[in-house]
Amino acid sequence: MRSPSEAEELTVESFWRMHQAHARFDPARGFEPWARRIATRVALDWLRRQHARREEPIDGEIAAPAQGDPAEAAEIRAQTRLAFANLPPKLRVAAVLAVVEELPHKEVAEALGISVAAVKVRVFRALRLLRKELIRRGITP
Amino acid sequence: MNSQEQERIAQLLRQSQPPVDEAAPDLWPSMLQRMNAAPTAVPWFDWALLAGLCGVLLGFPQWIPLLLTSL
Repeated sequence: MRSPSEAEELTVESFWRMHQAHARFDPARGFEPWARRIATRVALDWLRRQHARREEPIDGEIAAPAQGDPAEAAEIRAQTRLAFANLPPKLRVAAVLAVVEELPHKEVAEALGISVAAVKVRVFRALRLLRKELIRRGITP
Repeated sequence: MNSQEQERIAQLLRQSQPPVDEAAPDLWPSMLQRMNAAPTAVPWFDWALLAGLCGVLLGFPQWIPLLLTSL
């Protein structure tokens, strides 16, 4: 998610879907996994819609000239974000949950409705593709 | 890709993500607006039930007083 307003919109959308699906909520299985599953679906839908919009600069960070280490680090971060934005949505979601949010693979699997092995495969593929994309952009990880 | 490279990429990915703003605005008004704007949809089986009841009452009008007294 790139902008706070989009994040807010998707948060409202997630709660709206929870409200609509509340009859299917099973208290025995806990609220968090259920809510995360719905929010993940909302995020995936949004990512798929955005998939066509590629290579756009994030907050002008790419345009910033590299001057010294902090600028260079900022450039690498921005390039990484751009490269990550180019990955398929289902790989991105798995990587965000497992790598960025550092959730256990079991919880990621529940949120995505897939097996733990499939989560591991998706995370591995996401990181491999990200590495490839960074190398293509002239960044050696 | 070995595990070291994997960890390095994972670290780059973590660093590249913007920090989450904990001071999020109140989203309840947006939620309320969405709830108020949503049309109250009647499930199809409710319509089917109503149609069935009307059909029965048309076929057997003598059941109308019985239905009314049971309400």
